[in-house]
Amino acid sequence: MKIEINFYGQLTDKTGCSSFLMDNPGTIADFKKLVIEQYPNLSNAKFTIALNNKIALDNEVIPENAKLALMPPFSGG
Amino acid sequence: MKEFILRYQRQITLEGFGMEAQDKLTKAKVLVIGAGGLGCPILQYLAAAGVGHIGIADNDTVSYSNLNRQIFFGQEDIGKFKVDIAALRIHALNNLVKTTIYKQRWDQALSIEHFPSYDIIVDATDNFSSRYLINDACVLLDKPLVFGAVSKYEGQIAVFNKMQDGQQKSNGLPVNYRDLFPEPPKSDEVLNCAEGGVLGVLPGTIGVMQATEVIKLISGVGETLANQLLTYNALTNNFFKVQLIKNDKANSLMPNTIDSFMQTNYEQLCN
Repeated sequence: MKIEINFYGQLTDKTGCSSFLMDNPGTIADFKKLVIEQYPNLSNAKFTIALNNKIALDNEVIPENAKLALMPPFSGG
Repeated sequence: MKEFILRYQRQITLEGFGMEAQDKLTKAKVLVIGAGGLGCPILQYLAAAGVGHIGIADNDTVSYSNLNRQIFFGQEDIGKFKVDIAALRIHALNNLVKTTIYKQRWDQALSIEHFPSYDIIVDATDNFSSRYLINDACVLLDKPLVFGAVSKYEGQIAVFNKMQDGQQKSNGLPVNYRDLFPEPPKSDEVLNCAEGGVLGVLPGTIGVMQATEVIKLISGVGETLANQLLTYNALTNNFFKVQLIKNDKANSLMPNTIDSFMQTNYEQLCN
């Protein structure tokens, strides 16, 4: 089963896309490793991950059909 | 009194709002840090709504590149201090509102001196060092913080350091900006508005939403974004709301005494 990943803010400049689907990697920590492998530009970016609309901890297990959001800080005003 | 009733009649009439909420607004003291793209609409709507005392902090002067979004200012204001123009416009809009202006760049000492006399602090700044400084001061001094920030076509809004109504602090601490992003990005990691651009109406949208959160916090009407982050995308009309949680890393990175706060170099932290 696939999970859906959405990028926010300037992360889309680093990935070149706003969303993609991937096979469920297991935990949030596993996901982080894989997403940086797939998009190396993310390795020096700060972002927080939300799992199904809640901030996720590294050891959380990703359920099937989950939606992940990668959100960077915005500074502008 | 007649003018007061007439001026606020449309909101006093609202079911669930009434004179009780209006009185709370009249008695409230709100500090808006940053009188730019976010600050202009925040100040305008808080003044129009009748917030009794508004603090305005900004050390900048008006320039042409401000005019696509900073709607308090006109061409004739180029070169003048933003806080001076903002205070003039507020008095023209609503002379029942008292204003205090701060013409300095906001720093730790100003936070320690002035935050205690305000009910709510509003972050309408445009840089990470100010955002982390203001957040840390609000945590230390236990002040609710209404946060807003923009990037190109997207904006973020949140209410930090405040429990949702009905929730007690014994059920967990309120979250703050560092729970979301424990460490500031370095200056070359995230483009600011000058580098990356910003759609002029976007800080208007986000600023109006921040003003809405302030009015809800004061009046007690509705649900606020306490412990939540709302992201808005002007290109797709997508609103995305996320529940925030405490982050163990945040506490270890935050100054936990006034002394350590005063000694933190926020400029260096973000460079």
